[in-house]
Amino acid sequence: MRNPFIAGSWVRGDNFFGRSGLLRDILDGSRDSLWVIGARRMGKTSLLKEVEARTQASKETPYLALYWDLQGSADARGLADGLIASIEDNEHFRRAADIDIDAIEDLSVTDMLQAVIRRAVRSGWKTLVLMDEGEELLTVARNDVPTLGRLRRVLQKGPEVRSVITATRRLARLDEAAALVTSPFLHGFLPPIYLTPLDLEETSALLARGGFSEAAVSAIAEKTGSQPFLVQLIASRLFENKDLEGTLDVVANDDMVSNFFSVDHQTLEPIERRILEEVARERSLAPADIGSALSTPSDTLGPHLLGLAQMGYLKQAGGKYSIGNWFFETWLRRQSLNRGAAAESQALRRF
Amino acid sequence: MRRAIVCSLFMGLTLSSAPATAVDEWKELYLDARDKDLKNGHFEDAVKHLTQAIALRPASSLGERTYSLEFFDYLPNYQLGRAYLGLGRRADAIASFRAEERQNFIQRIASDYQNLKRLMKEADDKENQEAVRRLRRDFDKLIADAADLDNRDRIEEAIVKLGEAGARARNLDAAAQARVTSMLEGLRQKQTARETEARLEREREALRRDLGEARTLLNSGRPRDALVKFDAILKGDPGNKEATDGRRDAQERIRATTTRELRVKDLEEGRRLFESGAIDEAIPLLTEAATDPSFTEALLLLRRAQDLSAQRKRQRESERRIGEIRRDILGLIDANRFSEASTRLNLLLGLLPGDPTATKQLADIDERNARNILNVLLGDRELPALTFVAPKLARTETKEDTITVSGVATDDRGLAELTFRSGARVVYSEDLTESDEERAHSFDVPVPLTQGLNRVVISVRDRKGRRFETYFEVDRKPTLVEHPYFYPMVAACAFFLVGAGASVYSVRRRRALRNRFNPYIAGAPVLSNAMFFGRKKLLSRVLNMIHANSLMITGDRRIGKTSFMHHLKMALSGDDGTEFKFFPVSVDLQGVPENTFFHTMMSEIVDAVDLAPETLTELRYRSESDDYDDRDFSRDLQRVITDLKGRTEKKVKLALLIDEVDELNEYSERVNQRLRSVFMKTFSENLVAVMSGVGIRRSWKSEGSPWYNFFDEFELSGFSRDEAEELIRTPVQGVFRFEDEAVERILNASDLKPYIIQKFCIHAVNHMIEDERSTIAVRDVVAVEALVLSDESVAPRISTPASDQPVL
Repeated sequence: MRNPFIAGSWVRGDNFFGRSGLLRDILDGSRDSLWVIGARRMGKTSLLKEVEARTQASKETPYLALYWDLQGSADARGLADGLIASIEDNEHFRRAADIDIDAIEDLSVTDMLQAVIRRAVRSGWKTLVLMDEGEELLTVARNDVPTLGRLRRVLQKGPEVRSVITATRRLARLDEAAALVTSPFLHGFLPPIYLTPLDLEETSALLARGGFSEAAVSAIAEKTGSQPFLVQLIASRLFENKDLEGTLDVVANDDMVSNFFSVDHQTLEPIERRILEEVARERSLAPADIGSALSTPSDTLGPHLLGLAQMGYLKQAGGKYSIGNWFFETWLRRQSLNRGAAAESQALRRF
Repeated sequence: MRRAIVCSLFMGLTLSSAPATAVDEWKELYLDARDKDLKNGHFEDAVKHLTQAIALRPASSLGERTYSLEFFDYLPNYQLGRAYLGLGRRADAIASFRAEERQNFIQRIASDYQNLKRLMKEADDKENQEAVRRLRRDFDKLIADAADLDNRDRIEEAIVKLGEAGARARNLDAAAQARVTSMLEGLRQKQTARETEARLEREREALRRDLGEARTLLNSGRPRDALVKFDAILKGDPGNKEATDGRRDAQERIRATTTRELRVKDLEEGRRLFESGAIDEAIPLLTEAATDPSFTEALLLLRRAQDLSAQRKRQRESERRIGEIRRDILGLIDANRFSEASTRLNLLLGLLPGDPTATKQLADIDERNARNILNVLLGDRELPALTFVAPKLARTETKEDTITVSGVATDDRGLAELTFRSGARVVYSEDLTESDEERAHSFDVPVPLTQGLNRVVISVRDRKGRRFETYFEVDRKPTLVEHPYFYPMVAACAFFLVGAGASVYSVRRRRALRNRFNPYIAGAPVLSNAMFFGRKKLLSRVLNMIHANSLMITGDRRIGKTSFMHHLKMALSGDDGTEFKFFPVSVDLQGVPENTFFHTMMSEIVDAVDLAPETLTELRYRSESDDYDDRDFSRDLQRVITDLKGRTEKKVKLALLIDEVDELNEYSERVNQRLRSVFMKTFSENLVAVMSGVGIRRSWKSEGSPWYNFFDEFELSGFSRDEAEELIRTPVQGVFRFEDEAVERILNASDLKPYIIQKFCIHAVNHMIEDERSTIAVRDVVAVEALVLSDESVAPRISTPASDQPVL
């Protein structure tokens, strides 16, 4: 039997697990503008790819979905290039909306998007725009604020278009970065919906593909906090070497995993990073204790704690917060030790 | 005893004559049918006898001999056709005649062939006349049914009937087609009128609802919103008394509760919104302003806004309805419910006369129906056919235990069964009725053989019960092992080989010394299987994961990454035992500048996968021009994958094996981002990549995710001791020998790195050859140690064991 786990690449169809509530919100919910917020490697791309696949397979849906990867767009031209590449990649969309690439290729991104939406409406469809790597809009905001404003108008035009953006917390800085004369870009996309870790049932369904023992399934779910990338990575390695202890140890010390935590950590606000360091050091803390450790009233910390818990950085039990998964906790503690050691050697040198 | 011998002889003769009788039974059956049954008009018997003859001997032949040594031509399908004609089964007769023609024997007998052509033409003509008569009869009935349904106001059923009549009319004449078109036009008008009536009813219902809502708004103290509603109602139904009264009431209430100053403000804001295109937002403000009769501008603007709003609403409603019908049509076509789709298409064409998409869809359905009708009417006039790829000849020889018969069975109405017989034994049978309308079926069947002449009969039956058979004769010769003198020869050879082995070893060693035999490779990638050691676990792990994961192989310089990638490519090329078909492509990025990155990648793909000429012409890639970007690359990859999918029924995986990936560290972030975007495309489900290099720089400045996030990473490290020992000893096995201490010394000094081991072996073997010995001793290793470890690429990684340090 081939290794059934996929660590890294996006998944859809039979390889996609869980997220039924989110899928319902996107496909059947009442909001036409949604921002799905999620930590890195939480499955944002897979969620959008699954939405795209489901709309393509459904006979009832009123939507024609278009997956649009924003990364590397940087400005109006880059956005247009990315959009046209997405349409070229999506034969189902082109055929159903009767799109002629040559006819729209030279338009600006907003005109192109409008033309696409019009074509879809004429063919009896609503357009479901699925924008991945939404953080790229921060770069667009730095380079080309007017385009951002025009884009907002098209994306929030009304019932014939539904827009979904996936991004990390960093996207929240967009409205500070882009001082739009009209409404702020994220205005209609708020409040965001959180892409949380999988629940236990979903994790177990995913791990069932490996034929692991119940004990191994519980251990993986517990150590990873059901973070989907870590679950897939550990399951994939375990499937190969059948040694759970060894696998956990190797993954905890893996440079690739450390790099992932390091980059992910950088997407958080400074106050959030301090909360995580404090909780990692004490293993488990009540909100009031976190507040006093950071000299900040605990009610000010409330939204941060809630957000961190939703994204899987923290978990809550018995009124106390602890770090969302063992690997991340190990990494945080190691970072703290390294910083301590570096400070000590600097002090010694000064002495 | 003598009696027993006589009895045995008699029994032997009796038994041996039995197969001869069975073998020639087809002659009797054929001649009975031809000379007795057909002549006497016993057509049923003729069919029975000829079918039996064909089962025993499917192929026609000329110049066969009867028992009385008279010659005759064996043309069973021709005779069978004649018998069917006698029974009035014209379609079966035509099929049999065509089967006879396919065998290419009857053409050599002019009189029979002319007769066959004549009979076939007559049968064809009569069948066609009958088909046209049936067609006309069906057409008239369908037209009458449609008219009847129309009279009873069952419009949609009438359209379905007309659709069926239309399919027949296309095979009849222009007058019939014109009749259908004219009736259809009338029905379409009725359908549109009915649709309009339904829309008006919906509007009346909406009006009643709006009136209720307007009254509620008025009563709940929201006269402005109520007035907007009343106005909208009066727009659609100007004479509505209730709305007129309500409007007046609302106006009075507004005038009583607002000031002129407020109304001026409302007018200004309403005008601004109107001019910016926010019509629906402008209407309430203008409505309020227009309650003041002195504000004529407000009234004018309000009327224009109301007109525009009503127009937009109608357009939205119309688009919604048309969209709904289009979706229905697509769903019905997808579900092969063509009659219903046709009804919906007629409705759509009534609402949007001349719509190109609907016109084309309807024409496609009509074309399909007409084709189906023609097929049904003309009936099945062909036997199923068999075409063979192997064996090539009707009679072959082999020493193998089995022969594989490969080819394709076809039938225009669907295949039912495929059977292989070897002699009387059925060796393979496949039921093809399960698959949906299977018209072509390829086969690849191994047939076991016995020594001597084997007759392999392949029989195919279609869903109408028609059968076609043919056969191969295969002479299975005995193999060497099956010859009686084989075992004595083996014994003699064994004695000879034992003696020869010792002398061969000695000769080989002397020759190796003379030729300075040295098989080790250090520096260049190891391409030969015989010299590729270790890495089995990693290779199997990669093979186990690569169908769904992209992988990154990292490792120090000269650890064997390029060799590993080469052997991975070979393993993927031969990986046929799974549901995936890999098409591996090697790309070496060393020295590839950023601006030609995507061009280089496509160039390697085009070279490796041997694309069809039509795919090549569709690509944007041109070897002579490197003006080629990521978008061109993505578009071309889509076409390449489509081409590959056409070659196999398995899931296609284009595997890019990219070596020296460190080069990407030197590229701009933009190219790295573009590379990532390739893996985000839908077609990337058919794409996997294995990259190898010393390491990827993990500083990523842009906001989104880096491409290496898609890759699971493996480190290629040194060998295990067992793998290293295998690398040292195996290449010279049978020629030279390593002393255990020499092996141990290399293992310790090399840090188990394959490149350093190979260097040690090369130099140690050369040192031994210089001394004209055939055993590598520890002194050879010690003698070359300084030379091997002085190499810049290995020195920093080597730690000499403590025991080897000079004691001061």
